[in-house]
Amino acid sequence: MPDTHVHRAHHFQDLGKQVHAERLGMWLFLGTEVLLFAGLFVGYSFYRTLYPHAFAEASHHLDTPFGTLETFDLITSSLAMALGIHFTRTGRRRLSVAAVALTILMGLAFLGMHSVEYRHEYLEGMLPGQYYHFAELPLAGASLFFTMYFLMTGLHSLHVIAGVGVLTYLCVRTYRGAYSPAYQTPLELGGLYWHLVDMIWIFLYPLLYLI
Amino acid sequence: MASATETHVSSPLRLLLVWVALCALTVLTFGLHHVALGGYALPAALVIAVVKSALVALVFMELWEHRGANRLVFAVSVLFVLLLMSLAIADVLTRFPLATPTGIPTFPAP
Amino acid sequence: MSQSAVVSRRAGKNYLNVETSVKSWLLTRDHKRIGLMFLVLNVGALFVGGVFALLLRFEHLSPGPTIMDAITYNRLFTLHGVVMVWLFMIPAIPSAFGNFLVPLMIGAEDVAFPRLNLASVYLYVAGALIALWGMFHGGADTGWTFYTPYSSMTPTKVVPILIGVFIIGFSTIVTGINFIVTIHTLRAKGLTWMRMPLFVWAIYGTSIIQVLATPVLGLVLLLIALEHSLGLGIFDAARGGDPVLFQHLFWFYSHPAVYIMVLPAMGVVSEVIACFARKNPFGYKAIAYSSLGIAFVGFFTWGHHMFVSGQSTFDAGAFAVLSMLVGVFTAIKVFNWVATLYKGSIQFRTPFAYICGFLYFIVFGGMTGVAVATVSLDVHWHDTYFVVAHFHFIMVGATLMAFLAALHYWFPKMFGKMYNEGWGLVSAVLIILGFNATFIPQFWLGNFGMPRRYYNYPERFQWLHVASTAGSTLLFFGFMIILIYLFIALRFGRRAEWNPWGSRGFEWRTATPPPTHNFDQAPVFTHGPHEYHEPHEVDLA
Repeated sequence: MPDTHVHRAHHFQDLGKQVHAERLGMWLFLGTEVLLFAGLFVGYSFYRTLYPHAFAEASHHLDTPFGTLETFDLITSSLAMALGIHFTRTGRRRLSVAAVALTILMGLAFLGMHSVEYRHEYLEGMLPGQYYHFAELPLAGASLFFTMYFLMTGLHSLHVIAGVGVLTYLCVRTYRGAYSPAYQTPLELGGLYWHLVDMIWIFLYPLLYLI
Repeated sequence: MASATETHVSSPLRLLLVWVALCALTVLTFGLHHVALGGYALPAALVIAVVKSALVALVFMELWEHRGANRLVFAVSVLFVLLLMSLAIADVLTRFPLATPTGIPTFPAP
Repeated sequence: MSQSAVVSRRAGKNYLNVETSVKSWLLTRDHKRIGLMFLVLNVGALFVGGVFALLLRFEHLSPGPTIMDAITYNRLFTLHGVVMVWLFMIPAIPSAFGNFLVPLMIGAEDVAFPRLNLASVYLYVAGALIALWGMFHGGADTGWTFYTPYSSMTPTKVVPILIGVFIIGFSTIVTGINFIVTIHTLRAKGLTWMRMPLFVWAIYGTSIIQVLATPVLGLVLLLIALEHSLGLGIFDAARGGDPVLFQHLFWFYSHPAVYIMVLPAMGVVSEVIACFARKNPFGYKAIAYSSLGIAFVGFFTWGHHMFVSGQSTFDAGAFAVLSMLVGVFTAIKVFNWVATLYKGSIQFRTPFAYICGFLYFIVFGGMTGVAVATVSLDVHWHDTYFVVAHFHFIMVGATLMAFLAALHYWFPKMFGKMYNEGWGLVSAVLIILGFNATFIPQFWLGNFGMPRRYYNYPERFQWLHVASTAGSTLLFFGFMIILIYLFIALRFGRRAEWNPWGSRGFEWRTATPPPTHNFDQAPVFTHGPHEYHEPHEVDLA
């Protein structure tokens, strides 16, 4: 049975306080991520209010089936992550590694699908800012839509990449037995980050693809 | 409050049920997109997104079991996003029409 | 007060001399060493920003070119703003004094995440170096506010400065997260929220603002960098964008940012007044809650920077009313501080001299703030020297005075040495007088119509500019004197007593300077934070 004292840092009074502190720290960080995306959501709302028609038209040119698939993909990856933590808590290390690995694979699948989307948009000329040359939709609001689309999904994808990196590290650590029913907080914190990435997409999907 | 080390072991069934709910809500929001809801389309989509996020936050992220401080942090972050959004949108909605980038009124005249 | 936390008074190893290798400093996890490193870096930044300010003031001695051309002038006021805001004002009290004191005040061994704390130093240094590099290689001329469309079009190099500030933003966020978690989870036994020192309440409020506001800054800097380098056109009217959106996003951070600067200063004031009036703070709960009030309500007021930018009159009115509201919390504090002084037993030492300056400056700076929050008046004063004088009253007059008060009050605790009190008082007087001489003329200048950020001006404004520059020279001399006697104190000063001020703050219960681990045994708190009960309970070495 792993010794819980091994995990406790000396300046915390007990392991319970340390775990609470780690979780609170992570939630605060997630709060900062929410505020980071906030600016983009505000910009989106601002311009959608000004150009409702152009936004709706532009949205029709996005690949909605792909977007929907990506949504299912991320939701399922969240389930896999939650299961991964559950398995570590119940001492089933191998299942936990498998679940986290599945999460990573689904994250990569998301990125793959999104790259296909980006490529299609690039070929059509539906690009941000001054690079916009989509002849079918010359409205100013459409160019802004695609700018916001690339900024929001781009920032989100960067966070998916970071999440994949973090989860890979945690997966390896889980495989090496670093976590146990007594202490698995780092894995939990990685999961929290991944779920937030999923949550952001839950909002991006209807706002971008389903106008 | 229970000690943080007494981690609540969430049953896999609960997690699966939430996943089913999330998938169902995704189907719903996709389906509603094809129904002409007019002005209600955006609020409907947002409500569904909020419900989905709440499920992820409360069950997958275990906010339901965590201590109050964590819930407060998340709630306050979301509230402040709404604060920024509401006053920025209010600006655009209440400007003198020729001061908007398009020159088109964004608020129906009384 | 606590019974068992007192550390042996024998001169022995303290946090400064326990290990003296460079590596032990560069890799330290001791919050006191980290606080000290921030203090040194911040004072350096203050010096650099101050030199820029002095150059600007010398340029304004006469209309037209005096010592530089117009482009250099534009670059210098941008540099002055960027260095002062992000390299000094935002980190100064929280990262230097907050880091040093908060664990001591709550009876903890360190902050919650010591390694993150060290990372915050390196993030600050990296960001500062990148920003400074950008400044000296073609630096920006947009002003520290980077308004579009000019920041998208300017031929100067904004992107390195934007990146530098973005990185410093991470330092701020990390500091904020660390303090919030520390205060929630590392308070020693018996230290309930309502027994915490008011400085800790102030740091807590500040940390909330840091965590909520800074990410929005990060995003908006990123957007400007992309706009500038890739022509994204998010704020470009030609592409259907709106420059006012930039201002909404920018000021949503930058107004709360000024509360990041001033709130810790208010915490310092509470501590110093309690000590030198030898009295409990009057209205402890009011002061504590008003710290949270400022932290939250400060977020509701950003549009008062945009009264003439083109936002709707509805929004302008809303922001004006909300800006009046936030002034109430500062007023609550000022009345409680004054009530603390009433019938107190005042010891007029250098820290207290700065607090006197603070009280005067915050009242006048705050009242002029309410004045510019009035939309109809701001139409006349916006972008004039009136606004410049207003915010310098708060930032320099109030916040910097509190920083100097903190520096002098906790100097013996941090270094174990005492400075020369006479010179301390002399420089305090010089600084307060110099400040008045610098900035009161600027209220007049602004009211007469002198715009800010203007290189040239009509002859009839010259006498006020000369007066302001004379004042700034006096201010500069005051600072130089402080640097000199503090440096002398560090090298040759007499050893400080354990508790030279006879303060009842809990941080004075450790040795002076404290050992690395702060307390020999985990303290147990049994009393409130500033209780002056039995005189004999006050430890005086």
